[in-house]
Amino acid sequence: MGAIAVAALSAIAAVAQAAPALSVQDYIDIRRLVNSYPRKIDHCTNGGYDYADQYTADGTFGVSSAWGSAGKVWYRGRDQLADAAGGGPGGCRPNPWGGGGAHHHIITSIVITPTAEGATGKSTLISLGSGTIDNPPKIEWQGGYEDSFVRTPQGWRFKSRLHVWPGQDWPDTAAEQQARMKAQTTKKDAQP
Amino acid sequence: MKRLAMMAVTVCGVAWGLSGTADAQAPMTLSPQDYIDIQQLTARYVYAVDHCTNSGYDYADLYTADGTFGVSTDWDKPGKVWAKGRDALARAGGGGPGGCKAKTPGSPGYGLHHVVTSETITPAVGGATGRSTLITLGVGGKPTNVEWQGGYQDFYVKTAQGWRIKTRWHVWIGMLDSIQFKANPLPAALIPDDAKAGTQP
Repeated sequence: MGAIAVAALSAIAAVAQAAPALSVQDYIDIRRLVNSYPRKIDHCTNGGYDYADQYTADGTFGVSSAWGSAGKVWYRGRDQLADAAGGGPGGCRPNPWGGGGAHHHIITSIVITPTAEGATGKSTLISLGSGTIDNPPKIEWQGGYEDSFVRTPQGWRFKSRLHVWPGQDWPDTAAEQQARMKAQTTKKDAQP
Repeated sequence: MKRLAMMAVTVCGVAWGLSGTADAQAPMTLSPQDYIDIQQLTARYVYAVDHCTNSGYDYADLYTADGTFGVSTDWDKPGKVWAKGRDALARAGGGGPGGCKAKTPGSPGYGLHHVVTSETITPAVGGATGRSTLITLGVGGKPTNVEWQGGYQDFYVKTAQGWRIKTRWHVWIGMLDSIQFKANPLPAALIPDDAKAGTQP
């Protein structure tokens, strides 16, 4: 009986340890991180390093075809992540994800869940193209993001971000995707 | 006379917004955490309804056990209840006791993605009310079709499990003119009695 009680208490303690509560400020800070993402990826600010610095030093960006799956890592670490944003050590270059035109990220419906390591996130991604009065911009639902966040001395950061687009046939590397897009100039643009 | 009629409509609207509560209690005081929890509740809605997770029961469990979802033709105005209670709500979420129904071209909800914006949360007697805008993508089965579809008017209550939706009205002004229903007409039983074509703003 005593052992059961101890086990039960241990289980309760483990659960409590597994998912510590986030403070109101944590929610605000994580939302701010997520909401500042589009400006940094769409405009290659600071040579792509504003984008990279939203991640931890060993942070990753990847893609997946299904919610809740591991996916494929395309970028890891600061220089690679800056490259994902169209920049890197050599500075900004033409947007590698545009598919022939500018695309803008719109992120909505941000769900944040506490975890033992920090928090996880889920959000919806909408891509808005550019257009003219005679050729209005196209808008498209492109799945969303699954994130893991950790709190660092510099504040909350992405430990990993996966672009989840159900049903999308992703190649193994970003270079393959960019080559594919260049060839097809399709609207199915993979977007960090 | 017209003014009196307006007042009557307004009073009815307020009473309806408060889920029928007519006493003189003060609205609940919401903490910052309450606002965050309600925002998280409404954010989870889009994933549950678009993807029929857990056979529609993730959607149903966003509501109270006696929660309702319905469609109305205008703000502050009750409409037609489409689902009440857990199983009915799970069916509204694309599932139910028999599991998720396959979405194929022409079936309700095929290719649709909900985008909910401009949410406002207001303390109310017994809980909180909410109002938001709904934009739907993939309307008519075409991925780049987008449509404004009114929004939601909600009543939330705090339960032992956290904040839940007690009532959600999809307020859809001019619903019969929508691309969605032009492509896939609604069964007559689901159309609010006062819905009219030609009223899309």
